Amino acid sequence: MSNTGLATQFAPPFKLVNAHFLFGILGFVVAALFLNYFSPELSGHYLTPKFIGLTHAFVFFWFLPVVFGALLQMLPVLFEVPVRGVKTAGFAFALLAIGGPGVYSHLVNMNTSVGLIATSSFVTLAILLYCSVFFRTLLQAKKIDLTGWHVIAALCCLAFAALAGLVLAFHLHKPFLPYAHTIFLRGHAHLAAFGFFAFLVMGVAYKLTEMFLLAYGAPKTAGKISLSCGTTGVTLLSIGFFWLEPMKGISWVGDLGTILIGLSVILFAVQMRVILSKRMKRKLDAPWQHTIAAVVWLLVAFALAATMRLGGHSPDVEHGLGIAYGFIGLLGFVGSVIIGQLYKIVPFLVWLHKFSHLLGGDRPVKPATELISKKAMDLLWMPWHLGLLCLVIGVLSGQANAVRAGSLLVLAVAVGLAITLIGVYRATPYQDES
Amino acid sequence: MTSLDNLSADEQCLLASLETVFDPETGIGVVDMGLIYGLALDADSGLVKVTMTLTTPACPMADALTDGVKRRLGNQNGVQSVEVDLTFEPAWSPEMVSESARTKMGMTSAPSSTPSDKGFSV
Repeated sequence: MSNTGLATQFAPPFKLVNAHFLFGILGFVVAALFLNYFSPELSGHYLTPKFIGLTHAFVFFWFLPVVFGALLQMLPVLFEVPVRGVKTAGFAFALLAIGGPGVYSHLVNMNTSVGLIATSSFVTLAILLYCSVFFRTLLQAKKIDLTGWHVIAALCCLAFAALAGLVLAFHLHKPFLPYAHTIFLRGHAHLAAFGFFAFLVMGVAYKLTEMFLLAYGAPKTAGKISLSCGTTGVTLLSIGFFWLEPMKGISWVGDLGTILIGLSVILFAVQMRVILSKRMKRKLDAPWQHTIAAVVWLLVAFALAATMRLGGHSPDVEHGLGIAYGFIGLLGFVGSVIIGQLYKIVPFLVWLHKFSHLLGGDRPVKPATELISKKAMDLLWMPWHLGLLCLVIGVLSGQANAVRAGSLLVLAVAVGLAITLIGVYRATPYQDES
Repeated sequence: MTSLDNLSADEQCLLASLETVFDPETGIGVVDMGLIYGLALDADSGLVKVTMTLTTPACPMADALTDGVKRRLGNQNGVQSVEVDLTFEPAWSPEMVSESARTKMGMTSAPSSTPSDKGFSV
């Protein structure tokens, strides 16, 4: 049998990937609890330490562990190469698990002591180590396709975003930036949100949609132009935020970056439509419904960003738009994609590691898709998007009750998601078992 | 390389036995998915040779599927050993999926394209 180069031989240890996913699943519940605890303070239209802290809680507790775990599992599959630096990834995970809660607690309490620098250093080091692992892994690939270039662009942005975060921590401890740190914060946030998460989601979405929906053969022209526009846009926006706007008062470079990012988002939506039109599996189940909803949230986020760039709003409206933009970008776009793909990846991973050796035996084994409750996935769809809508409306209108209701729905979904996914780990292997 | 032309009755039984080896994502068997290109039984030695493919060379289920085929065939009467030859020539394409599997996937017609894994430079 000639199976040289097959991806499963290159898979990292199950327990490493698993640890990332479990941390992320439980981290979502913890972050949602914090969201509820601080929700009365989120309708005040201001970029408060609570909001900044919460943003980092969702990123460090939920998004990053899941994304890093998924990358460790997927890069060998997508590029047919082994993960380089499994031990480094384990060490980075420990640093993130320690540093993430530390940064959160400092930010949420506006504690700018040396502890903020220490915990930020932990997180930055963890992120740089992860990036090194993924770059070393990708370097072995025989060819880099559209997804690969997206991953590379995303990792570059992540490294810069982490370093910018560390600079902010130093500045908060002892101010040295020659302009308001909130402007620098915008650059940091856009590098992380669009530069890292959006590029990664876009690139991986192209590949996973092909693989899971058997949607091969679509031309990738829109995706290629989207990436070129996106990388140029993020670069221009970063130059604008970090240097030209605060130092020289030049805003057209950032405006051009915003337009290019918008174009990139629209072309991504077009590319996804082209790929989906080729799919053999016609029915779009809960994971794909979440992914499509995420694209809609991304378009809404861009509309808000464009509104803010146009300016002319009162400070209250400007702050409200900014916070709503943050919630939509992070939870609406990234959160929706992660929930949808967790529904797909966790059953797949559990099946691969626990049940695949039973395939072809005397008793029929359950397919991976039967390890997860379809009823639960369908039940959680509406509360999630309704919760986000309540949050955004509450923030924009200053209605504390709407923010509270939205926060409660987000928490309910976080708990429901955890129960659903833990149920996957406890699933029995055979079709003739309940 | 084996083929699916002119299978003997025993070979057809062996092919049918592969129904329970399925793609865990679609739940569709490897035969209906068009992944089995050939099967041959040497009645004297009890050796079964299978030529099969995957939907993509980067399929994460590669080992699970090939091992499943070996396990299933290895449990059949008269089979002493199983050899699986994995090939990507010709590359799998959606046209290879059976009608029943297409119906199960809600597929109205087979797209006329094949998997593309060409790289590009920015």
